[in-house]
Amino acid sequence: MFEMRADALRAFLDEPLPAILATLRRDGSPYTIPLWYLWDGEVPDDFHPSHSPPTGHAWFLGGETSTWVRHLQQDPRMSLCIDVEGPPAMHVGIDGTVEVLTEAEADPWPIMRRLVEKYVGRGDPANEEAVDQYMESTRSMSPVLFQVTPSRWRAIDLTEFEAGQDV
Amino acid sequence: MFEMRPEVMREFFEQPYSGVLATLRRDGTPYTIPLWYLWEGSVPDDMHPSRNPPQGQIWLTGSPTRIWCKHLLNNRSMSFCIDTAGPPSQHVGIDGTVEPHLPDEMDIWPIMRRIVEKYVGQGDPANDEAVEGYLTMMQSEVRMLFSVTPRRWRAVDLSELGAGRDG
Repeated sequence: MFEMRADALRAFLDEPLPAILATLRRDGSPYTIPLWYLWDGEVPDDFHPSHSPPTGHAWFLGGETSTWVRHLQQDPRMSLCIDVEGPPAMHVGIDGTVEVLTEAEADPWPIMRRLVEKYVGRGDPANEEAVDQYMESTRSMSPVLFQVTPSRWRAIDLTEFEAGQDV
Repeated sequence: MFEMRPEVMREFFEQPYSGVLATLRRDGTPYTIPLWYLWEGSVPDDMHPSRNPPQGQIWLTGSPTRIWCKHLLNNRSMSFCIDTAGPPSQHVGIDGTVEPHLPDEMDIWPIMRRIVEKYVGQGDPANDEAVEGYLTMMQSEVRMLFSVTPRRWRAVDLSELGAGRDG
């Protein structure tokens, strides 16, 4: 039903759209928070969420004191949802697990730079100064890097269903 | 940190922003999906997410055949996040439990109408016909409602932080 096409999905994953992350509390109940994410991978031309899913990883960064960071350090299961209000309404859902990477295992700063370029830079050279300022403001952070391995995808494009949403 | 002011929150709930619902699968893993919602309640003038939270409930419209509805019928624990891409980026997060309402025990259509008026009508009389058409389409399948009783709130408004978010 209304599957997103491969080219639409590639463009969608590059858009500076916030994702909503769902994590699990100690008692197993869900928790949600918006965050920036980065997609690193390939969307096959014959993309289908279950038969021919994208291959690769999503990345995000968090501060050690954030509630959701503590959740993921304890239980790596998560779900991400990236949504545009539309019309046309489109959304991508990614369920999977995260790997927490320490600074010794992977340098978080190149990912930070790419995240800031995606969300602050937005492909516009006029924002270069804002990108540098933002990077400067993150210097004092010790970011925790998360690598998401997707296990299930959803990718819905209601372009052809104009007024719709999954209601 | 950057708590949303009550008047901002009241206005936020009236906007046709979709939210992202997180449910739990039978194996306890989280699942996410964007949805329309309706807030019915009041936000106190001295609102604070933990000390003095809003009073009321959220309505979600579904169908017993939807995956997320099956999840909620099996496990009523959920989280809901309503987010503006910004700037300014703002979000409200609600954790709680749901009560399902099937059409044989409650007249679900007055609430359904209010939801469709919020998202399809958008306060513009030019959309009246689209509202009626949408309701007719919804009536062609078995619909149900879930009322959410919030247990925990988050309400963040990064207006004053400019480009930032909890990333």
